[in-house]
Order: sequence, then structure tokens, then C-alpha cells
Amino acid sequence: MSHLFLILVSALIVNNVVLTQFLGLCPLMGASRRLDTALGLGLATLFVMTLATTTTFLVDHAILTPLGAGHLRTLVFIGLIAAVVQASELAMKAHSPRLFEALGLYLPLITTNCAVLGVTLLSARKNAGLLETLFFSLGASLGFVLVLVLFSSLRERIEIADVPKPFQGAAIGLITAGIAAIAFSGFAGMIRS
Amino acid sequence: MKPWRSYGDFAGGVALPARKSLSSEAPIRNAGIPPRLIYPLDLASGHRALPLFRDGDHVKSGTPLALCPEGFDPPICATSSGRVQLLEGPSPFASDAPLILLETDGLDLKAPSLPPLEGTERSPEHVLERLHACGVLGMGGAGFPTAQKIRSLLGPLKLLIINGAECEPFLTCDERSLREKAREVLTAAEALARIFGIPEVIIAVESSRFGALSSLQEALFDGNFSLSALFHLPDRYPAGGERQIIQTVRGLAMPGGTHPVDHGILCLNVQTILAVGAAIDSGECLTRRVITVSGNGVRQPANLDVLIGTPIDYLLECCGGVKEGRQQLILGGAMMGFSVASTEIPITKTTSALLVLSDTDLASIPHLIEHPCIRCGACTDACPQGLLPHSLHDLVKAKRMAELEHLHLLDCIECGCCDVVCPSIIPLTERFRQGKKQLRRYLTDEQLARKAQNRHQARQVRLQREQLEREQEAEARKNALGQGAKPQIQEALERARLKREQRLNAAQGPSKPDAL
Amino acid sequence: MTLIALLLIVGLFGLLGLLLETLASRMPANEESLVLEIEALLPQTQCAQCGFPGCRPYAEAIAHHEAEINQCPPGGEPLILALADLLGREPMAADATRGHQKDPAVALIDEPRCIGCALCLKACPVDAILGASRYLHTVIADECTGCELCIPSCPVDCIEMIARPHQKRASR
Repeated sequence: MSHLFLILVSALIVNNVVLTQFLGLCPLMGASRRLDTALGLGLATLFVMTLATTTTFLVDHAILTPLGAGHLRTLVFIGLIAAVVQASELAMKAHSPRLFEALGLYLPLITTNCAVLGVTLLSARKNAGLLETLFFSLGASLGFVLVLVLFSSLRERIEIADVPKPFQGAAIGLITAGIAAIAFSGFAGMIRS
Repeated sequence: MKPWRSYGDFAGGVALPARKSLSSEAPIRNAGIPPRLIYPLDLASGHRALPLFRDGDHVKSGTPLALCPEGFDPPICATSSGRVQLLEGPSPFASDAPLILLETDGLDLKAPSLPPLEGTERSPEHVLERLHACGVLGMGGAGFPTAQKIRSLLGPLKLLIINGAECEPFLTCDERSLREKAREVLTAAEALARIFGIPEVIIAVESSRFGALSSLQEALFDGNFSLSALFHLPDRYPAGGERQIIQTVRGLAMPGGTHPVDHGILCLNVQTILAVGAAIDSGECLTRRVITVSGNGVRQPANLDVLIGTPIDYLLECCGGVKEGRQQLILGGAMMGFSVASTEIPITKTTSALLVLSDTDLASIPHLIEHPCIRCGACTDACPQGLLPHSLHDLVKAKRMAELEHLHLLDCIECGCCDVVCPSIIPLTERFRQGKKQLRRYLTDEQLARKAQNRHQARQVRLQREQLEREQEAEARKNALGQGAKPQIQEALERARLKREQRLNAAQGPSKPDAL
Repeated sequence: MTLIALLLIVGLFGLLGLLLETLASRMPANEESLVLEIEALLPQTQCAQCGFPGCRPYAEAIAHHEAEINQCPPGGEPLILALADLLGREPMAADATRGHQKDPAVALIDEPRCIGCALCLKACPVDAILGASRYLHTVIADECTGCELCIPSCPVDCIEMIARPHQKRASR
């Protein structure tokens, strides 16, 4: 049991998807202007990542690997992720149309979010069991949510602060992300794996 | 002619935005004679001058009006002709010294000037007396009587420095004087140097003042000024400070308490040396000086040749007047001048500028305006209501009304504690006062919008209801016509027929009896 | 082997497609809450300067991407910024062809000239005019939104706009 928890924590902070592995930077910069939008996107990505990882694990173990079609992984995984994203779009449209409107293009872009595809491919390569894969994807997606929430809270305050003109907008956002990445690198080596 | 030397340097100082372009291309022009001239009786030495006239006397330009009791300061002279009177009461310079008021007659009659000094009269003692009589003092700002300055030297003078540096932002009067009167400056400097046996004259100008430097170069090239040389100063404030110039030119850092004359150095401002030259060569009393009127708050910045004692309001009119909006008036430079509220204050011999600064001007000079918030948190600690002044400040600036309400801006009691502790000198309380006004208006607007929305929806409901009723009524009428209307129509026809018969019977009258 | 895998995958995707179709029909998009949120930001003047007959139709048009967020003059720039923030769209300059933001004003009927025709009663979108046919009409200042729809309806031109009493718009 404890090793599942270790997997979770490792994916959450030590090997954080966004700030340590630098995947999924597009939604980080694009959808982090407001806290509620960022949280919405983060939770949508959480739903997609966990569900997609589970289904891709099952498809990989049931169809691809037994038939030796491992080279089709990327193709198939993207298709499955796209299906899950569609489902989450429908759910969001029904429950929170304002969030759907505010996210705009970033919701279908979860399909191309390299964090999601990255997590699915990484877990396929690891040859771990279903439970480990689940905890891994849960940790990774929670890490994504964590970073989005932190970053959007920072950005909300930076937007109204007195930033010098050359740094306003995306520039100060990228600098902040860089400093946050440096901070997260402090977790390196915390878990010997 | 000696070639120019590149600059040494002085310690410290700050680079300030020059802002000279507003007035550096404006040639010096005569400001004319104002309707009144004012002379405060307070002197540089701290003494108070004693008036020599009676109220109502008519005086001419150059007439002494008041004397220094100790004989230290030169006499106060009239700078134009007219009637004088003494005004008691506090002077605008925050002292209780009385003022001399001269109502000019516009004729500018001059008292006979002293003869030019020639030949044997060009001796140090004669010159010093002449300087005293003509009222020459340090016009760069300190106002120290020049004659006394020279008298106080302990040994021989080794160097005469003409301080052509104008390091204060906005000021261009000395620069223009050097450009337009380079020959006169050099002539006066060389004359003074020869009279007092000073072997070397240096004209020190900042390296970026190309106009002044080229005029001086030309004059040096053309004329016979064998003692003089140019020196380029660094372009930093306060390069024009006496001690800074000496440190730059000679590498000499004078200990406190000592003066340049102790080291044989005499440092004079451009305006002062011009006044010295006029006193020696023409016997003219010091009655005018060049000042800069500048800043983005005045319509036509200019360099004016003004009569000493001219009130500020006259000069502002000369320059097209003050622009609309909030402007700050400063007598002197933006760094060392002092702000004035009244426009009836006069120009004195040591006033070098009148600045009318707009908000944008003030923002460009560091110590006059607030700095950005550094998130030190002192304001949060100081707030007695438990608010977050730094967040509130950002939100007020960004006009985020909903979030201001969320952070309880309306709970601010405007006590001012946050102002006191802020290291960036941000006027927080003032911002919050404005913010609260805007927040209250926003909340009222919201309330009105809700009311209007409800009323509109109620109206829509009412209109729909009326529409429905109308349709129902029309439906009912149509139905009524379609089905059971026939018996009613028959009855109506029957009634009409009966009535018609009755009318006919009544018209016919009783029937005729039967005739058989 | 690859062929079998491909066929299986295609079959799987087909199933997923059907599943999504069912989900889509079971979960209809709920737009009402979005429209309500947009409407809550609008100033409720009901003046129709945006080109729609009221604030609610304009909110619906915005939600359906049939109108831009810069068409409301009474809302001015703060409204554009608020809508941009809510919907994740880019803020844009106000549409000057629709009109300009004016200081708060209310309508005032010049009572001696009023002929009691009741046309303005019908024109007011918030029923802020009190009166009846052949009776004197008057505007309830507290309820008037300053939309100016009553002015063209008056046949004797007896309505004018005056500054809203006791309230000035915040300097935005």
C-alpha cells in the first residue's frame, strides 16, 4: 500500500508533470488568468487523464500487446483521449456552460495536451499493474491541478500589480513559471525510486 | 588658448532626466517691466536691512533702498523707477520681514551709474568696493556677497572657476547665457583674474551641453583669452555644486568646515561673473538676471531676462499662462527649489528658475513621487481594521469593484496608519477614499440595475398576460358567434317586427266604420 | 496481427462513438445559466441601443456568439472588460456606432404640455411612467433607467432628459 502512496506523491510533486517534466505548458500559460477557470480546466484534465490512462491501460493489455501491435500505441491512445475529452465536454456543457464558454478552445485542446498523452505512454512503457497506473495518473493529474491553481492565483495578483512595461503579460508569466519550476526542483531526490 | 580637458569625477550623485529640451532652444528675451516690484528686507547673512526711504518717495533704477546694518551684505537697490513704500507683515518667504513695494511708472529711469573702472582703479580694493556698491552676490543660489567671499581668502588665489554647470532638471538659463554671451563671460572672467592675479581660469560645463561648449570654444578661438580653458564635467546631479566641481577639476575633496577660498580657489556662477563684468566695466548696479520658466504646466517655457523683484504671476503671463489641471509651482530647481502656493512672490537675485510642474513632470523626478509597492507588509501590520492595504491598493488602481467589496474596502476607517508606515510613500488613504466613493457608486448602480431588471420582467409578464386575455376573449367571441347565436338573432328580429307593427298601427289611426 | 489489432481498435472506437452519441442526447446543453450570468452583468437600461430589444435578448445573442461584447453604450468599458473576463474573450474597443456612454439621466415630462395620449406609457420598458389615457403622465424618477425610448414616442415632444438627481456616475 505504501508504495502506491509513494507513486502518488512522486508523480504529484517530485516529478511534477508541469514544472519538473515541462509537459502541458500550453494550458498553464493560456488558461491561468482566473482561478476558477484554471481550476475548472485542471479538474477536467484530471478526469480525462485518469479515465484515459485506465482505458488505454486496458486496451494496451487486452488488444495491443497480445497482438504485438505496440507500434500503434500513439495512434490508439490519442483516439481514446479524444473520446474521453468529448465526453467531458458534454458533461461540462450541461453542468457549467459559463466554464465551457470561458475555457473556449482549451477544452478540446486537452486532447493534444502532451501531459495527458505523456502519462498514458509512460505508464504503458512501465509495465506496471492497473492499480499502480491508476495511482500514477491520479498523482500526475493532481500535480497538474496543483500547479494550475498556484499559478493562476499568482497571475491574478500579478495582473493588477505594478509590473514594468516590458514585462507585462506573458513575459512575467513565463518568468514566474520559471521561478516556480526552480522551487519545485527542490523536491528532487526526495523519493529514491 | 588651452585645449579642453576631459573630466574627472566627483563621488556619488544621481543621474536625473534632464528635461532641458522644453526651454533650451528658447533665446533669452526681456520680460519687460511688471506693474509692481517686491524686495524682501531679509538678507543672506540673516540680518534685516534698514530702509532708507520714506513711503511715497519716487526712486530710479539703481537707487539704494535699504542698507545692511553690519555692512556685510550689499545694499538693496531699486531695479526700476517708480514709487516705493514699506509693507509690514510677514513676507511670502515664511519670515516676518517686511517688504519694499515699488509701483513702477513704466519709464525705467536710471540713476546715474558709476563710472567704469579703468587704469589704476582696476585694483583689488576698488573692485571689491565696486562689487559691494553694485550689489553683486552669488547668484547661483547661496547669495553670498561676492566681495566678502573674495575678502575672506587667506592666501593668494590660484584658480578661478566659472561654474557653468546646470545640473538641475529643467534649468537652462546659465546654458543660454553661455551660448549667447560667451564673449562677455570670458572677458569678465579674464578681467577679474588679471585684477586679482589669478593665474588660471577654468570654465566648467557639463559634457552634454554642446551649444554652450561650442559657443565658448568659438569665443576662446577668436578672442585673446590666454588664461581660460574649458573643462567638461560629468552629466550627473549635482555636478554644479561648488565642492563637486572642485573635486572634479582638481581632485580635491575639501574637508567640512573649509571653503574653496581657503585653498585659493574662487568659484563663481555664470550670472555672477556677468554681473561682476557689468559692475567693473559699466558701473551697472545688479538689477536683472536670467531665469528659466519651464515645466509641462506652462504654455510657453522660456528663458527670461527679468528685473529683480518681478512677481511670479507677471512672469507666468509672459509665458502664456499656466495650463489647466493640477500644477505645482516651484521657485528654484526641482531638486533644491521650494514649492510655493502664492503667485505674488518675487524673483530675487538668487532665483534661477520658476517651474510649473505637471503630474507627468513630478513622476519623472524620483523623490517627489511615490514608488512602486514592494510588498513589505508593513501596512497590513499597521491596519487597525485587519484589512489588506496592499491588495486593496492594487484593486483600487485596477478598479475591480466586486473584489473590493469582497475584501471589505468599506470597512476602512481612513485612519492613515498605512500611509505612515509605507516605505514607498504611497498615499494609500487618499486612494482608499477615492476607491470607496467609486465602490459605493458601483453598488448603487448594481441595485438600480436589479430593480430595473425586475420591473422589466414584471412588465413582460403583464404584457404577456394581457395578450393572453385578449386572445382568450377573441376566441370566446368567435365561439359564441359560431354556435348559439341563432336564437338570440331570431328573438332580436321578432322584437324588431313587433315594434314596426306597433308603429304602423299607431300611424294609421282608428279604422273607418263599415259603409255597407 | 497488426490488421486484427486495427480492426479491433476500429470496432472499439465505433462503440465509443455510439456511447458518446447517447450521452449527447441524454445531456442537452444547458445554456440558461450562462445567459443569466451574462445578463447579470448588463446595466438593465433596456434601451435597445445594442440592436436587441432589451438586455435579455442581447445576453442570449452574446451566449450564442451572435453579437459582440462591445455593443452596449450604457455599460461602457467596464462592461466590456467584465464580459471579456467572464467569457474568456478578448476585450475590444467599444462600438462607437451604437452610441456613447452618457452621464446618468432620467426623463422629465413637461406636464403643462402633456396631452395624455398614453403613447409613452407603452414605450417605457420598465413601466416607469405613471398615468392613463386623458390623465396626466409623469415619470417616476427612481425607476427611470434613462433609456430615452419615450422621447420619440411623444407626439408633442414634451419629454426631455435631465441629470439623475443625487447620483453621479463613478469616473471610470
